[in-house]
Amino acid sequence: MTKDQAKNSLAIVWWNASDFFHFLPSKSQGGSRCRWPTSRDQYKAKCAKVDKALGELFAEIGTPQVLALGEITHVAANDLRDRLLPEYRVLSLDVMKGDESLQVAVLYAPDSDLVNFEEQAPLLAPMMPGSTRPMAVLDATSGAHTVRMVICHWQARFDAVGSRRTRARTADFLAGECYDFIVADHQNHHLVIVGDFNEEPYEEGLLMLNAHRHRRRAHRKPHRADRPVKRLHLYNTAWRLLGEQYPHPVEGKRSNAAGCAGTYYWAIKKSWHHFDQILVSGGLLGSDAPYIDETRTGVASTPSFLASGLPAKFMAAHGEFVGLSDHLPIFACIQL
Amino acid sequence: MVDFSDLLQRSLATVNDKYARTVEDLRTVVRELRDSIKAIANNEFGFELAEIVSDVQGTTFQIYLDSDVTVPNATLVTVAEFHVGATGYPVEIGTFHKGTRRFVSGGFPPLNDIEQIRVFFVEQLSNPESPLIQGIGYAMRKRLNH
Repeated sequence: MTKDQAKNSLAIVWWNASDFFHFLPSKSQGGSRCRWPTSRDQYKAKCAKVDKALGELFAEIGTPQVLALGEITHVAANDLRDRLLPEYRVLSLDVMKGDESLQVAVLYAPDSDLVNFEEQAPLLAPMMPGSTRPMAVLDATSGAHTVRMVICHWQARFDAVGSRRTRARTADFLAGECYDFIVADHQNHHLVIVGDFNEEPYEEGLLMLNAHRHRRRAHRKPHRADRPVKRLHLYNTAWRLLGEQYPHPVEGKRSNAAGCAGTYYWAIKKSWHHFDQILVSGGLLGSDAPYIDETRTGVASTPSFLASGLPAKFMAAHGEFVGLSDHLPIFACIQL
Repeated sequence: MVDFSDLLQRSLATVNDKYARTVEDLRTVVRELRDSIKAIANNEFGFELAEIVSDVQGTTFQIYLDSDVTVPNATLVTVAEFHVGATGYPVEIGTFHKGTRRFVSGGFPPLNDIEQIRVFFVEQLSNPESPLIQGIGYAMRKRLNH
């Protein structure tokens, strides 16, 4: 990436940091099922691993203006900002004092001559189970254009039916919100939806969100038939990234890298999944700015994210701390 | 001879009384909560009950958090939508679909008296993912950033 490219672009990284709690003495004695750090050293060890991994990522793709994170507390997000990106602001949806929880958080750059950021009210689908995470919304405005970023972490796959229904209802709600935002100013409003959807690109939730692999279809203006059902076609960048990262045989310096075959490794099932995705609206698929530069969109598989060969959760084992997260980061770049 | 006028007037009075009492209960709880919410932000946050649509079957209300009452176009965060039938209780909780202009209940059991309305909001205040808590969190961040 040239300096001019970097100067005129909006780089976005999403990463589910997996159980990134801060250390809280009152929550450190929770027993074997507790996911909070049991000691300050454990929290420090996770922070050190996160810093190293993100440092590698930033060295490879540049420091993003927007670092969106899943499964992180407000304090852990603030600590991360203070260590790595001290000028950045923090938007965390972990808001409840005394009942801290893992929510999405966004670290975003100060305003510049090119782009201004403004947080919007979080999106919450109505009538959902209590554990349904809200979605964060951050607008990046450059000239007449507003790129609305929606940061999601949809319901985990606890069971076959209940969580699927929750994700489907979330998708339906979000589809309506997306439609309303785009039709309000079709020329100047754009959407980037990032996150851990807990679904593959071809599963029900993403289909209900009208997110697919067909760029030309997503690029069309909404048709009048779309209005009653609030249908807005979105392009899902994940489709081009499915499967093994490198073709076989893996050659050159890549041959030492494990590579990846998705964004999430489900250890119990021994299977790769592509749950982390970036979707964009049609206005970002033209040749005039703003547009998504798909050559700078991908899954990050730098060494620290794959220290164990596969993405693995952070944990204490045999007197040392191993793993980091069972998710890999994904990134995208919007040329402004 | 049957006095239809008298029957009709008595029936309507009963219907209206029950409806009016239910709406007043909703207003009472919103008022109680509004005082607490305003206190955390120097009276800059609003918390209101607004009528969305009314017909012969009843009225659909929206409760929303106003993120800054001093700014005319400040963000309003929907906290809950209720339907009160023409005969009053129970109060249904659900969603008003703007496209179809229909209220669809579900997700929570109906509320049968003012205490159950209070309990509903107590649960909202103890749930980190609830629209009320997230709305207040958003309004607090906006306030800090300006």
